[in-house]
Amino acid sequence: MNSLLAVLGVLLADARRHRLQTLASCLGVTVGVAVIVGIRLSSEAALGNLRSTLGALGGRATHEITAREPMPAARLADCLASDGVLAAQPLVECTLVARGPEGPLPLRLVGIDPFLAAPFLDLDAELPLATGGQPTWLRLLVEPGLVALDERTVAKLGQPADGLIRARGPRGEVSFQALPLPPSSLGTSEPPFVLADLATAQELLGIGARVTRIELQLDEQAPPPPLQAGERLQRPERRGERAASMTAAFRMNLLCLGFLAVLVGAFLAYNMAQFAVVRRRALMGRLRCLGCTARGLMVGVLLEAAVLGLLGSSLGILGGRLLARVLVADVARTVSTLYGHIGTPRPELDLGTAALALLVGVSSTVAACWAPARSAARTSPALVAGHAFTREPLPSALRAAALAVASGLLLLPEHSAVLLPALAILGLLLAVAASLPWLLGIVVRRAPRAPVLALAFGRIQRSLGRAGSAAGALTMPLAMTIAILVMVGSLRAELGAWSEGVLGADIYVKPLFQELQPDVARLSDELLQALAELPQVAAIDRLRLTRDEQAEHAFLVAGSPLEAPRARGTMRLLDGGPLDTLLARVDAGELLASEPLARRLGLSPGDRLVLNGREGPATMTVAGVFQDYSWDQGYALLSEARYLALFGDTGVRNAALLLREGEDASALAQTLADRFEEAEFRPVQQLREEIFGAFDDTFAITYVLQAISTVLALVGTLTALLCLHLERRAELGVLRALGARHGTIGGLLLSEAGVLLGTAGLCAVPTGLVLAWILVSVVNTRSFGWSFPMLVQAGPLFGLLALALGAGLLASVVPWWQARRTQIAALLEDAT
Amino acid sequence: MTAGETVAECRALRRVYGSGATAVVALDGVDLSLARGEVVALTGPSGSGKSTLLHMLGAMDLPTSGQVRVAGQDLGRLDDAAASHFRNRRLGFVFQFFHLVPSLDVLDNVALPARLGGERPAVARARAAALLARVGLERQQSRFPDELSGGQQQRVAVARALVNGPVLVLADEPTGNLDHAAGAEVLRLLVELAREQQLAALVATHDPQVLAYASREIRLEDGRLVGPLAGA
Repeated sequence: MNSLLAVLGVLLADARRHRLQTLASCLGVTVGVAVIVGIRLSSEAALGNLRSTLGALGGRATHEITAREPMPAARLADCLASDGVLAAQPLVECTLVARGPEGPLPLRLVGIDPFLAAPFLDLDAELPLATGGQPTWLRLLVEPGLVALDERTVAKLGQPADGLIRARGPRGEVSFQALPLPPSSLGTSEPPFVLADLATAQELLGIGARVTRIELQLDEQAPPPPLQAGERLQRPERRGERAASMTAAFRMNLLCLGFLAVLVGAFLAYNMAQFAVVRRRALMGRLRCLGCTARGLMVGVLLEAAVLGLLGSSLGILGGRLLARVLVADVARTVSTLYGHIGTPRPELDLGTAALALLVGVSSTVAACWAPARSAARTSPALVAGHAFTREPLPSALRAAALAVASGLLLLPEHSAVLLPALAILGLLLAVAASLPWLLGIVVRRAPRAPVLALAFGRIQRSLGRAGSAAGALTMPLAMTIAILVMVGSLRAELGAWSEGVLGADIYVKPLFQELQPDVARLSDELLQALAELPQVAAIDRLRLTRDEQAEHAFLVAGSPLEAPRARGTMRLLDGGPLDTLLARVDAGELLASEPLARRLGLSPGDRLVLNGREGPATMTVAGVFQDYSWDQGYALLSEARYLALFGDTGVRNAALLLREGEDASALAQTLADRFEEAEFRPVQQLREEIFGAFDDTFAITYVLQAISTVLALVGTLTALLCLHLERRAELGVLRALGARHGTIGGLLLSEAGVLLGTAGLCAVPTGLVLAWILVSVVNTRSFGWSFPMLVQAGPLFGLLALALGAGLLASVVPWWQARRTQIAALLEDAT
Repeated sequence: MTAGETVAECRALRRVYGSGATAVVALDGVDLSLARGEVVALTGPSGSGKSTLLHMLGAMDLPTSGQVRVAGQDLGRLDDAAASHFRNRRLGFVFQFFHLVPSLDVLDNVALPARLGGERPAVARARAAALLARVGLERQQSRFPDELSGGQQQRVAVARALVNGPVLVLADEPTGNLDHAAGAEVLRLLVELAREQQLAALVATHDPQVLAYASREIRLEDGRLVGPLAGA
């Protein structure tokens, strides 16, 4: 152990003397870890908010009963009469949207029965006392129309003078008297909780003597209480699981981007370690001569890597906290766009994330330095006398090819999680990096006639291993950037084509602030009737939507008269037959599955799908599969009649107006918006623009992370090239001593960089396209269930290559400038 | 241990690099022995095999044939780990360009072989401090190599070579990078320490002043010992 510490001490002392290179080694790990931490903290914060919007106050319930529709309050008595039920409490919950000075503010209303809540909630402990010293729950009980909320929430609503809060509920405008409370957890959750007596909540929702949820404490040994049709018994944690499963694909994709940053950072560490081994060859020879074993040297290098990894990771955790505050807005916007409004999450660093960051940072650095450590172990003790030459063995081409083949095999399992394709991408990148020295060798095999170029080719030829590393520092991240650019560009183009082809109606109608309460916001019957009576309207397409929660999986079910597809042929079918035939089969009682649902559940035309209707399970035949990007979880589409028969009237979620020939959709939309305040009317062109806006919002975080990775890659390339040049300063001294001019030296360095970077860039393009194919055809399909053709746009591609090459060539200016300023004798001294 | 006891010997030592038509015979049947307390000068033109012989005795290279024994150990039987251990414990090295570790101060440079041998830092530093005092550099302990003169650096190297109490010190042109006075100082130290610590020292050199300090000379030409001064 003492000898290992001695070796480590020597290496760390050397690292301190070469601060720039040491910092460059740490930089890669720091940025990679910061990205992982930033992503994890921001996505966990968003997930936490999403969980809270799907649920209510925490309590001591072991189970809960929910249903598609509010349940009669008498169900409570049925539950209490059941042997296994130890306690039960009724709850009424919904989201209200209040208007404050800064815009709409969602509020999570929870109505409780204080007399039955005792086994579940310690009301005196959970609720601060109201002014006057009375228990809050007592005031809620005796004062009708009173709702308790955090005083900070009241402040956000503008402190109404009469104390009345006005908000929009599922059935229209409501108002209630606010009871401001001292700051508590009610106000810190997102959206804020507001608490009411059960009767007050029922009145605000307009649901009469019904409840939306019954919490239970069950005797696990006794049989569960019997359920009625449409009811579901589950543990409260399932709400959190639902939030997690909804966002799993999105979070996994974010994490993959994060690990890409770690990979690039690790490659930077690998490059720096390689150069450090070369630079320290003489030092290592001394250590070997003085009795350090080969294994001791290898372990010393790895221990040094662990120390640098620890340092880099620690800095990365700090950086990640800052990054999370920047990313959380983008993540929240994306989650809100895709899954429902979640407000503004606050990321907090937890022990698990810190531990993960340290583990990832240290292990990736040590793994990256494994090969350089083995190279160090090959140092001969005779090197110290300058009589031994260590030739670096090139990476085996056979191993690189085997790695590429193995990576390809990982893509074969059709129903694997996204982890296998991610590993395949990693393997392919490493295989390409390992093959770069060989590719460079082919490029420089024949020296050109021009002396400067011949010199440059010769220098590369003599150090293919290190030159390959420098080229790899650019190839890997450049290839990933190309892959993501192509993937995002392809999806965007396909989305545009889809929206042009599928959005066939003229005006789209949705309830105001639907995104704030997607589960309950509906268009009123009066509004729909009025729209149907408009002379400009030829037909109305209505969309009803419900969620089918099943033990194995949950999915959306939609019902529609399908007027737009009938009238204008606006549906992209992937399987099942011509549109007319399929629509007829849907009218006859079959269903259509959107592509994501079909992939997720493995559905094909002719398959059977069981839906949980009001009266019990109903088995339906899949008529066909259609392309759709509305919901990444996918949905089943029924005829309106079949939907109503199975699920009842759940309300119309959205509508689409088909106008008569010659009508002005934009003008009519404006007129309708002025007349009907409770809904939004969007002409189809505006909707298409919003779709692209939502798309760009969704991928905003991808662009941010990709920019970070690209910057990191450029730093890595610059540093690798600098080190490559600087370690051979003595050669430049010899050339100057032989009569070469400054211009010749500059040309030499530029030529060398040009060959390296050109090779790297040319490798990056096909590699990036292969990776793009994996992202498009494998990862996206398995994550989101979407399929779309890959589209390669030359402009952005070549722009990216030009940027990378330009930045890399700049790296040649620094050593040239340094050589220009240094005396020839000083340059020659580097040879000793 | 007794003065005059043989600490190192070579028997029919042969080292050939390459094979066939391009084979180079660096050492061709060398027989020699080195005894405790003696400083032997190893001379010969460039390419005569001096460095190769030092590598053989320094457990840095394996012979093609013949035998090399130091302190009773056949060096040809050692694997890398055992050779490293042997170099650390039984051998000391002094080089023309000193080869100190630039990022360590003088005290840690001298203590380094002891620490590599598993000695605790405090003990290693104490031993190093004593040796630095012996070579007259006790006030330079906290300086770094690039702050010392060439002569001072070489004296540090000598102290480093002795910190683990070797039986044999191998010096490759130790005065090659020093002026006459500094070189003489280093040679004087080597001789005194060899006598005090009863170790053998083999000094490869082109410097004629080494012969004045050496107890005898061994001359190599074309890989063979030549002249009546060759030890046996």
